[in-house]
Amino acid sequence: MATLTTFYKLVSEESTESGFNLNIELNKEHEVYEGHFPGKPVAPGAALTQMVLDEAMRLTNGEKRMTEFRQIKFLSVIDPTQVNKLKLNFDFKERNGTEMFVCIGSAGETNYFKLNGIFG
Amino acid sequence: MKAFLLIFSLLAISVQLAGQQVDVLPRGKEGIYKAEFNIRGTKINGFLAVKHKKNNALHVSFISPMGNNLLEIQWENGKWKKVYAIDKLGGRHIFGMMAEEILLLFAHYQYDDKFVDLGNEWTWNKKTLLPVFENDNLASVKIIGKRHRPSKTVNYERGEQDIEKLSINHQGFAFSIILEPLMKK
Repeated sequence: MATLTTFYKLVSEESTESGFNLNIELNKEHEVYEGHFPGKPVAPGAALTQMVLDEAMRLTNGEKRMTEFRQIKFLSVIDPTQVNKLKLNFDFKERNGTEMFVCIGSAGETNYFKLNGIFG
Repeated sequence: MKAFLLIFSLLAISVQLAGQQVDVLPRGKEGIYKAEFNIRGTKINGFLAVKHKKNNALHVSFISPMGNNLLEIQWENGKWKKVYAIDKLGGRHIFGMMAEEILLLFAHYQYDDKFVDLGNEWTWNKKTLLPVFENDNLASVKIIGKRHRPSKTVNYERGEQDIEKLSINHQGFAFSIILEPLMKK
C-alpha cells in the first residue's frame, strides 16, 4: 500500500528486459517541503526511499516482502522546484539465491540515488 | 494471482538466464591457469588451480613450474583460510593483497555478504567496482578504493566462447597478476 500518496505521481510505466522504467513527477507543493527545508526545498531521503519501497511492492503485486535495503546512495540533492521529473529504473534480479532489486533514480544524465533492496 | 506470480517467476528466471554473466568460474567448476605474479618487479611464475565449490567456497592452489606447492588457500563464508604458504608469499601484507586480488580476478566477491549490487556500480569491502559488460559478459571491472589510493582494473579477454586471459593491474603500483587458462572449464 502506498504511504506517500501525494509526494509523487506516477506518470508512465514501461517494462524492460529485467524490470521496469517508471517516470514519476515529484509534487513540489508537498507539505514535507515546509520543514525540509523552509525556503530551500530538498527531497528527503526517507521519502524517496519510501517511494521506491512503495513502487517495488506495487510492481511485485505486493506478494514479495522486502526485508532490507542493503545499500542506499544519495548522489545529488533533489530540489523539486528544479528537478521534479524523475526516471526510476527498477532491475529485478536473483543473485546467489537472493531475490533483490536495484533502483536508480535519474533525470537526464544525472543519477540522484541508487538503492539495493532485498526480498525475504 | 497465482498465475501472475508463476509468469513473473518464469520471466525472472528467463531474465536471469539471458542476463549479464558475472561468474568467471561457475559454481562446481575448476580451472587451471598459467599464472604470472609481478610483485614490485619480482616475477613469480607457476600454475594456479582454482575450484569454485558448490557451497561457494573458493579453493586456490599456486604451484611452481616444477610442481612445488607455493600457496594453498581457501575462501569460505567471507574469510580466507591459509592452508600453506611459502615464506615469500605468506607475509601478512602480500598474502592479504594476493587473497583479495584472487577474489577480484574471479569476481568471487559477489558471494560475499559485503557485496552490494547497485546496477551499473557495485560496492564491496569499502571499494567501488565499475563493471563493463560486452555481449552480457563481464569484460572489465575498475576498482576504486579509498581516496588517494590508486585504482586497479581487472580485464577479461575472451575468445569465441571462454575467457582466454584474466589480468589485474594496479595503477601506479608495480603489482599485476596474469592468468591464462590451460584447460577448458
